[in-house]
Amino acid sequence: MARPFQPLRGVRVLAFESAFSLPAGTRTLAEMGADVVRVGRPARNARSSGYITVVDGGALLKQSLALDLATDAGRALARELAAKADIICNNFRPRVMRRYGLDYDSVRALKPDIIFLQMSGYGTLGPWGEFPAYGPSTEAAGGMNQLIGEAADPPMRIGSGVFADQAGGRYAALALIAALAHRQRTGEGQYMDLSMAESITHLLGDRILNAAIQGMIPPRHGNRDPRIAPQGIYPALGNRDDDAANAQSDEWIALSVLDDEQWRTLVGLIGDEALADPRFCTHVGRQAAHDEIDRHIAAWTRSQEKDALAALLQQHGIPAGPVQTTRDLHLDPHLRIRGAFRTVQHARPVLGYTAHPHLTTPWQVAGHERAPLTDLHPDGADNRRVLRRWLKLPAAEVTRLEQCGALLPPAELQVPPPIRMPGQPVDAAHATRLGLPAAEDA
Amino acid sequence: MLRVIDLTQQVAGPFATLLLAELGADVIKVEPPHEGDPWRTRSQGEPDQGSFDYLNRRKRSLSLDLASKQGHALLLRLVADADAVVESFSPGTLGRLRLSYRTLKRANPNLILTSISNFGQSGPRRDWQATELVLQAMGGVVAGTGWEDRFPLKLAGYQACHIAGLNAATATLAAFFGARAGTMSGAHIDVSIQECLPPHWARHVSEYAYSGTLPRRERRENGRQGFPHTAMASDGWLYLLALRAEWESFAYFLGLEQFVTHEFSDSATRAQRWPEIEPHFHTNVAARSKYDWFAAASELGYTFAPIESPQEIMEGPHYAARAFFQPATLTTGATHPVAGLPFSHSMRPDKPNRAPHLGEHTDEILTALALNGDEIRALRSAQVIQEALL
Repeated sequence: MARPFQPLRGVRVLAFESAFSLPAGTRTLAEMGADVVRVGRPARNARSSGYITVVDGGALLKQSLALDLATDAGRALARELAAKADIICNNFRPRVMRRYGLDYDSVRALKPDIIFLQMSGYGTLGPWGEFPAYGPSTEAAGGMNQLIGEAADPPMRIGSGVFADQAGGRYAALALIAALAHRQRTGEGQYMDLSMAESITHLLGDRILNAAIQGMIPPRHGNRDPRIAPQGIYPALGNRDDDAANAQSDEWIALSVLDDEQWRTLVGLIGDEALADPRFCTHVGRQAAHDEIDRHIAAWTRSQEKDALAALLQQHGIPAGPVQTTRDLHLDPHLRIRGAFRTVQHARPVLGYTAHPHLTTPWQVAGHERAPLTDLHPDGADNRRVLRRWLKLPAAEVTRLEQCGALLPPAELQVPPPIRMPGQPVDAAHATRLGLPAAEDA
Repeated sequence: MLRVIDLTQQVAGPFATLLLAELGADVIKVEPPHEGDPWRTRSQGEPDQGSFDYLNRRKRSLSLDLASKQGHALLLRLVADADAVVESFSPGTLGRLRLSYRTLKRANPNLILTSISNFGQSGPRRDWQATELVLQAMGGVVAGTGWEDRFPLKLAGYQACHIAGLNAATATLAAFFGARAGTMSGAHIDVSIQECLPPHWARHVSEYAYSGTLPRRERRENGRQGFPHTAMASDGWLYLLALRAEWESFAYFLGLEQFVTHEFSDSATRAQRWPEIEPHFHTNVAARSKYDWFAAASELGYTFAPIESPQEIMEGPHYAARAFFQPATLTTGATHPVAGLPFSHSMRPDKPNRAPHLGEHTDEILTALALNGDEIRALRSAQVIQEALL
């Protein structure tokens, strides 16, 4: 297999990170070959390898150094490492880095061309600078919720706990790579202050400008589009096979009719006399009778399997696709062939299996394989390796630092079973469907 | 900074080159004579007015007929001197224009070609048709968004296309850096819009693999935290998030101390008897401004947030203190505040903060290719290029 696409090989990243936002960004750098060292929470004994960290995958491909920044020796070691880094980034409050002597001004004194990224919910400058946030809060403040849903309902949140984390993380990756290219050309490092809320606002920048032009708050359109009618998400036949008895049927298909010709094709496929109504021949007529048309379309889609129906509509040139659940994404034949997932082999079985699939880089490079993903390293697993490679410290010295408390010794990876929300649908056959290798087979 | 030949149209591709232009790249937007990027006209009506201006700021426009022999040759001359070509045609179109990666690479052996398409350059669904709704639905996130008793809901705006553009810009810049650092030379990057959304609920996608857990949309009454995530404050909607909050302190914070009793101490009971709590909850939330709630919650480590409208974002003190919005002149001549990048940085773009008129920079770009006035006039009369529409 051709080697992976690694344009960032040799770039050293020291990441003081927790949760999911910055880890998503630095994992993108690691996928492209950067040497990313995860320092984890600076507080003593705060371990970061629970179920959510394992499942999230933000720590994959990274090395872990368990520095205890509460000790003088730990902070001294951090500064030695900082002097060898190309990039230092963190998603703690700014005062945390100041307290440890690792803020931009202190680090720049050690490494004048350092690239330093500070990431937080709202950005550190401004009246909300010290407010704590999780991704979904920044989606609300960044303008997303206001514009999701139907006009008659309250604003709706995105059904992902990590949408803004991933968005902010990916903007962080862009910012850091741009800064690397800038330094390559000018020799200058820089300080960057990234706001997750602004990441959301930037993704909505066209909507915001539209609101400014219109001079009004844009209405919520649900799944509709003033220029496309009909457009919507319609019910499809439920995949109620025996294995999924406890997973509610929740199958849907999305479709859009872009012009009159596609409409005539759709009416022909549905074969419902009511839709041949001349009122529906034009976009304006269809838009005016959208609810009525939706009822007829739903009556037709309800009895059909979503993938087969989408394929049929596509054969006739109508844009349509299944609404994919997390299970569907794993089983999506197109994503499988394109290699959107890579298998992570665990050093020790996790929840009974020796490997699990994770999403990898969402792009392919001709002649290269997609970024392979290596398993999460428990906290402190790379103490020796990192200090040998970055600071040329002998193993005995690392042991001494572990003994004096500057470093926490390598931890065991403990993965407790997940905590399930009441009423959460669970597919008991997931391992069979995905062909997961059971631990006893190993 | 890098020089980009931008063959993209519509939304995803222009978002990628917008990011590059904002970071200081010289982006030449190549548009077909007469109609230009179809998004110029498509975005004129609702709901997309302003979108073209947003997406094409700080770029230069060259009107050039790629299907003509002379246009083709001129493009290859531009490519010879560029770092990257970004395109968003449907797969196969570049080959039909005799501009495949192999051809482009002959003109410039170190070239980075970034292709952005709905489903990627390969695979069984490569040629499927799509809209933003279809891409969001197939990429996920949508399945978990909305009310449990209704259909799933699309995310606002062009999230699928924009996020694909973000990834395309990142991969292109990384390849540019690698080429200069000597870790690689040239690359053909294939970005599938569909593939760019699943990472935005990566944790939930993996959760299926680890435990079979599937996402669930919100219950209308009280949601997964035991209370609604959204409620009306005195001046607008408030988003309430209090992960791992103790009921006792949270109830005091919301003025619901009458429910801090042994009876209400477990979450199952609270869920069951929510109708008793509900009117008090809504009355109390409505008694204060969303900004007061936001600040007060922050003191206690609760991560509430005001649900902001575009106007509130443009006018609010926090974004103003960060100078996030900068005035931009639109192609209509009006000036409005426009969102900048979500991070402060020191890479100064030198092009103005507005979208170019069709063909506005044609003469300047061709002159830089050492074409003289007569040659440019000849191209114009052969309709290979077009008079700038100012």
